[in-house]
Amino acid sequence: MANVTLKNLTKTYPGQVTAVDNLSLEIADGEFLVLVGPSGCGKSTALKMIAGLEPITAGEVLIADEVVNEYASRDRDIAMVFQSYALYPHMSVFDNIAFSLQIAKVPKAEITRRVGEVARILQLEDYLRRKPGNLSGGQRQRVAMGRAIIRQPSVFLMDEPLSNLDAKLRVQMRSEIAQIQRRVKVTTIYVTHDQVEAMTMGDRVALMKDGVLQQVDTPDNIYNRPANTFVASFIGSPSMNLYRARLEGEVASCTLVLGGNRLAIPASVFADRAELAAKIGADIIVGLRPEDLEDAALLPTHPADQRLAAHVILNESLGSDHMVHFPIDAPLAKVSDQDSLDEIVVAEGVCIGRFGARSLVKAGQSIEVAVACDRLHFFDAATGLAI
Amino acid sequence: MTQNSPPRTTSVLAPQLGRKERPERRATSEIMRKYGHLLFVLPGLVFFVAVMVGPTLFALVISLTNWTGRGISFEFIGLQNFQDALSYWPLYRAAINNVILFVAMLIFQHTVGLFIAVQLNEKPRFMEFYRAVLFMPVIISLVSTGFIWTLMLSSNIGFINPVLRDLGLGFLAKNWLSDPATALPTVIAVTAWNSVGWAIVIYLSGLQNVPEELKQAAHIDGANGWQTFWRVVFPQLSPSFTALTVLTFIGTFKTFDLVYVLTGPLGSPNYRTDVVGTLIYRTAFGGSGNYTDDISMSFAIALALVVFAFMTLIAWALIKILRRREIQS
Repeated sequence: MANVTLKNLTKTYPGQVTAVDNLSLEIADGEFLVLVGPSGCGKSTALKMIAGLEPITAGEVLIADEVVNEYASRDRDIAMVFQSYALYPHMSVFDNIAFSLQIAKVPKAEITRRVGEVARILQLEDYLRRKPGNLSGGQRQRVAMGRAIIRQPSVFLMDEPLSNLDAKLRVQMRSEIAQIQRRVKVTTIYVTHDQVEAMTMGDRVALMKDGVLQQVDTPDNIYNRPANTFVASFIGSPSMNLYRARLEGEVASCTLVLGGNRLAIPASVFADRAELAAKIGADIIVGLRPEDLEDAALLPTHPADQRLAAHVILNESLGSDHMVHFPIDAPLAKVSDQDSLDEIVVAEGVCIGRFGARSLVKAGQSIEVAVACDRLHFFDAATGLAI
Repeated sequence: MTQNSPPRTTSVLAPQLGRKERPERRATSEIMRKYGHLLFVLPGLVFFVAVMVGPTLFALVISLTNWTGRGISFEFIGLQNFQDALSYWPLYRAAINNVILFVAMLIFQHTVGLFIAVQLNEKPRFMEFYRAVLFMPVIISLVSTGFIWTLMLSSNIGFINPVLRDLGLGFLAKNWLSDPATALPTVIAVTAWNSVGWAIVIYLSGLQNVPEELKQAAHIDGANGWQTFWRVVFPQLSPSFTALTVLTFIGTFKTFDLVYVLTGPLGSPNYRTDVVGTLIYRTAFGGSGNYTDDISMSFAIALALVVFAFMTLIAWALIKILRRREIQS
C-alpha cells in the first residue's frame, strides 16, 4: 500500500489541447478517491498518466513518495480495472486472474492457492475454467477485480468499471467494490462520470471540469459546501436550482430578492459566510437544493417570509417523494458542461422541489413553497465561486 | 345517369365467379407465396451452374474417356484415368514440390509477413507509403512478375549477379533458375516477394482489431513487450492465422503461371520446379519436351480432379482444425 501524490500534472496533446491542467492531489494510503466529472474533463487521462499508459507533459506522479514518471506501467506496482474489463478472451478465468503471477514466475502451487483465495472472495470458484465470453457482465467485472486484487498492488486504478453494467447490477457491484476496497485497504483511484458512484463509494471526491480540478473533499462537503456553481450543479440529483438574485437590507434583517419573491435570510447564514455581508446590495447567484424546498402545506409553522409563490407545471411522483416543477420569474444562472446523467430537469428556468410523500399538490395548482433559507447556497455572480 | 347506369351485380359477383372459374390461379399464388423468393436466387444460381457446376460435370465426363484433346474420337474407359493418376509418380514429384512451396510460404508469411505487419501496426512515419510499396507486388500480374524476375536473375543481362560481385559476394552468384540446387528456392523467393503483401494486409487488419486495452492490461500485469505479444496479442490473431494458412495452401497448390514463366512448362531443370499446375498443363497441352502422343486431355482432367479432391479435403481439414482453435479462444 502507498500514498499517491500528483504534482502539477499536465497533459497537452498536439494542437495545444490541454486535457489535464496542473492537477495536484494527495491521496492517502488506503484511501478511496473518486475522480468524477463530465465526459472529456480529463479524469481518464489523469488516471492513465498515473498508470503510465499516457506520457506526462509536465508535473510529477509519486507513488509511495517516489517519482514514477519514467517508470513503465509494470514497474509502478499498480493494478487497473478497465471500463471494458480488458479480460484476455482466449484465457480461462483462472488464467486471467493468474496472468500477472504467471508472468512473475510465481510457483504453480502458490498461484493456485492465491487464485483460489481471490475466487472465494469474489464468488468465482465455480467459473474458474470458463472463458470470459461465457460469463455475465457482473461475473466479468468480478474477474477484472480478481485480476487486480491478486497482485496485491500498492494502488488500484479503476476506469469507469461499472459503466457497462445495467442499473441494478451497477448498484450491487458498487457496494461490492467498496467493500472489497475496505477489506484489502489498498489505495484506490476510481474514475467515473456518475455522481451517485462518486458520492457513495469515495472517501473523498475530486471533481474535474475541462482538465481543471474544481474541488476535492468528502462527499458530504462536496454536496453541502460546493466550491462553485459547476460543482453545485453537477453533484445532486435533481441538480441544484441556480438563479440570479440580489441581497437587500442588512445582516440582521436581510432579504433575498428572487425575481418577484422576497425571502428573509436568517442572520446565522452570515455567521457561516464571512464574505456574504459584503455582497449585500450586489448581484449574486443563489442555489436552492430541491430537498430544501417543501410544500408549505406540510409545514404550517414555516415562517411566512421564507415562502415562494409558485404555479406547479408538473408533478413527478416517485412514491417516496414528489419532484414538483414550477417556474420562478428570476433569471436562471446557466452552468455549462453539466453532465449529470440522472438529470431530470425538463425545461430551462424551471425550479424543481422535492416535496414529501404526503404532499397533495397537482399540476396547474398555485401553491406556496417553503424555502429552508438557512440552507441556501450563495455564489459570486461574476466568478461563480462559493461565498 | 343513375337510372341508366348498368346494374352493380356484376362488380359484386365478379370476384366470386372468378374464384369459382379459376381455381388454378389460387394454386399459382399459393406456390408464389411459398417459393417466390427463390426467383431472386435464380439468376445467380443459373450463372453458377453454367460456369462452375456445368464445366465440372463436363470435365468429370471427359475424365471417364480416353479423349486426347485432338479429334472427336473417344471411348469411355471408366475410372482408368483415375487409377492411372493415383499411380502416376510425376504427380507425386510435382505435389512434393507444391508441399515444399506451401511449407516455405507458410513459414515466410507467418514470420516475415507478421513481423512487417507488427512494425506497420506501430504506425511509423510514412506508414501509408510502406504499406503501398509492400502490397504493390500483389497487384502486379504473375506473368509480369515472372518476366521481371527472369530478367533480373538472368546470368547474361540480369543485375543480381553483378550486384553480388560488386558487393564482394561473387561466390554467391549463380545461374539461379537453371541450377538444380537454387531453382526451387528461387521460385519460392519470387512467390514470397509476390505474396507477402497479402500476409501483411491480413495480419495488419487482425492486429488493428486487437483492443489497445488488452495490451495495456498485460503491461500493467507485468508483461514485457515480447510476453504481451505472444501471450495476449498473437492469440487474438487466430482468425488471421486461419485465413492466411488456408489461402496460402490454396494459392501454392494452384500455382502455375509464375513457375511457367520462370522455369518453363517442364519445371526445369530436370523437373526440380515442376508443380501440379505445370504437370497438368503439360499433360493436357504438351510441353517442349513432350511428344504429342503423350498428350491426353482426359488424363490431365483426371489429374486435376484428383488434385481438386485432395485440396478440398485438406483445406476443409485445415479450416476445421484451425477454427476449433479459434472457437476455444
